[in-house]
Amino acid sequence: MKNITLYQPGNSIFHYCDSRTKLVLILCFAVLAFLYFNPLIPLALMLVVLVLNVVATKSYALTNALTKLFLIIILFFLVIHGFTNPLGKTPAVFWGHPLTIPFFGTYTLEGAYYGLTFGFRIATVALITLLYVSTTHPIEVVRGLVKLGLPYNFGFMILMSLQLIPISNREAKTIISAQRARGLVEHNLWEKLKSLVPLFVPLVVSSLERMETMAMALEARGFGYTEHPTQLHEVKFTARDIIIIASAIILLVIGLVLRFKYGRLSWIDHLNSWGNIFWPG
Amino acid sequence: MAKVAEVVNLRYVYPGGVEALKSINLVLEKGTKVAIIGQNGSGKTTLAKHFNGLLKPTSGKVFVNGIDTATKSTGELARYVGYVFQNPNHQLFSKTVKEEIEFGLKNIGLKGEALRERLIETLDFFGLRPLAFKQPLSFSSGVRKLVALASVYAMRPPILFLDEPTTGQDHPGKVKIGQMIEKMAHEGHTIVVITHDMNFVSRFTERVVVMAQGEIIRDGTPAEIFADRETMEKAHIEPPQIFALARKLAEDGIEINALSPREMAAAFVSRGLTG
Ligand SMILES: Nc1ncnc2c1ncn2[C@@H]1O[C@H](COP(=O)(O)OP(=O)(O)OP(=O)(O)O)[C@@H](O)[C@H]1O
Ligand SMILES: [Mg+2]
Repeated sequence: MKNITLYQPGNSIFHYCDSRTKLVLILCFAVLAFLYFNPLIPLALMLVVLVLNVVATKSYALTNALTKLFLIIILFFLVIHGFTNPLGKTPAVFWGHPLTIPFFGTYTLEGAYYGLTFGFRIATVALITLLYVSTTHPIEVVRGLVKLGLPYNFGFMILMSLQLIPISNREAKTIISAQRARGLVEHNLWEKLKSLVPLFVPLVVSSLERMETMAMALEARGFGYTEHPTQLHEVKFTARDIIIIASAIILLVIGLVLRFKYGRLSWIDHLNSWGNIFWPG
Repeated sequence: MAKVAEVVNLRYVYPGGVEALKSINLVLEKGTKVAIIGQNGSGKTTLAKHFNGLLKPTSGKVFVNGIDTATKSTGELARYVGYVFQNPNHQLFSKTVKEEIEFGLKNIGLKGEALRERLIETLDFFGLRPLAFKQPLSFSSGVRKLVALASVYAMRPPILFLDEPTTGQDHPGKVKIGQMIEKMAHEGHTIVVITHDMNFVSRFTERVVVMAQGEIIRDGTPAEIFADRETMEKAHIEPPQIFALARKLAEDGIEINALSPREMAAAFVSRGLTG
């Protein structure tokens, strides 16, 4: 069965560190990505994050739908901003000619600069988040959030629903089989719509029944007896976590210092060729 | 006897790689009551799902009424093979028993007078007429099961599979299902029951197919199968108590082949083994 969460089992350093450590990592990279206004630094950050992803989940890091989606989004930004960004003033040259399309205008270097900057920024944040969700078991995600102050009951509820997804999935399959065995065919859209009733009613009914049983079973085992139950698994920071957090924070501090000393490091006002976009000329 | 279905060298491997069936050969005959038994995971359900195309063979063939099931969808095969799932809650969705039964009938294209006739026939067959306008899910588990059975039988499939029909049923519930099975077989339908309930098997079926690890290891009458100690052990099956008793008696030199307490008592009487 196709996995519903993005979690990829493995044994990289990111699989073993605390889920809160990875949240710190997300925060640092997100701030760094938006600190400067040029495509170069977000690109570097994005590549670093991609490498971290590959370290953690090997080929999955590059082949999953999310990574592909964000690479496409960068391309999309590059095209859209190139033609439409209001900052645009220097026409870009394609084999000796500027490129103009009706209604949108001319493709500009400023637009490309802007589009790439934003594309890389967003991809950086998305991919560092992917690192978090693909190396953290959903249970660990919730445990970390509970440690950070999410109410226990709320966290438990999320966990429960996560665990119910595969069960409901299997049940849905059985129900579909049961109705097909009764001659249900779904050739066209209308038949598909009609078939929703025989599929959904049993699914809802059996889910409700299971909830009820589960609620009783939980109460019978003392759930809700105290507001602050002891944890089944204590989550603790280890040396590994401290090293990761320390490196991330050092990087962030360096970034902030440079930002205050040298400003946004933007060269959007000095563009006159394609090469300028990545390096001030 | 006329054959209604045939399985030839069926092998099935689940997408995960589990080889659930290895080279199954089986012929089902018209109007017979067949039990498929075997321990958990022996492949009973997997085999049954091949008859109405819910699963398609990895290799080998399954024919129903002469049709290769690999070439038809489950919806199309529904008129030839009925399948009642273990949990009636996975099937029932209508506001009334009447609508529940009509669902399958409409799916196979019945309408008007023919539909009404079939509906009434079915309600009467299962004694559900007084409940026709009640909500199926409001009934006890025994009646729900009966409604689920009726809703499939209504389509009059030549072959009808029942997956674990007696699980969770009390004694009257089991007897009712057993009687319905006899009645349906009497009408010429082939009934295949997948079950772990050996008393039910010895009481209501006439042929037993024993499965173990994806293979059919034995095929015969209940009396033959349950008396066969080796097969019972291989399939990890505990025969009905009457067979255990017969075996103990056999050890003492008294050979009696009885399927029910009544038969055994009759055998005692006829041999003068009273008191
Ligand atoms: N959807 C599935 N995906 C992968 N393997 C499966 C699937 N369904 C069943 N199996 C495996 O196939 C084998 C046969 O299963 P099957 O359900 O046919 O057994 P069964 O005889 O019906 O058992 P039970 O008495 O528990 O109903 C088992 O090893 C089982 O784990
Ligand atoms: Mg089964």
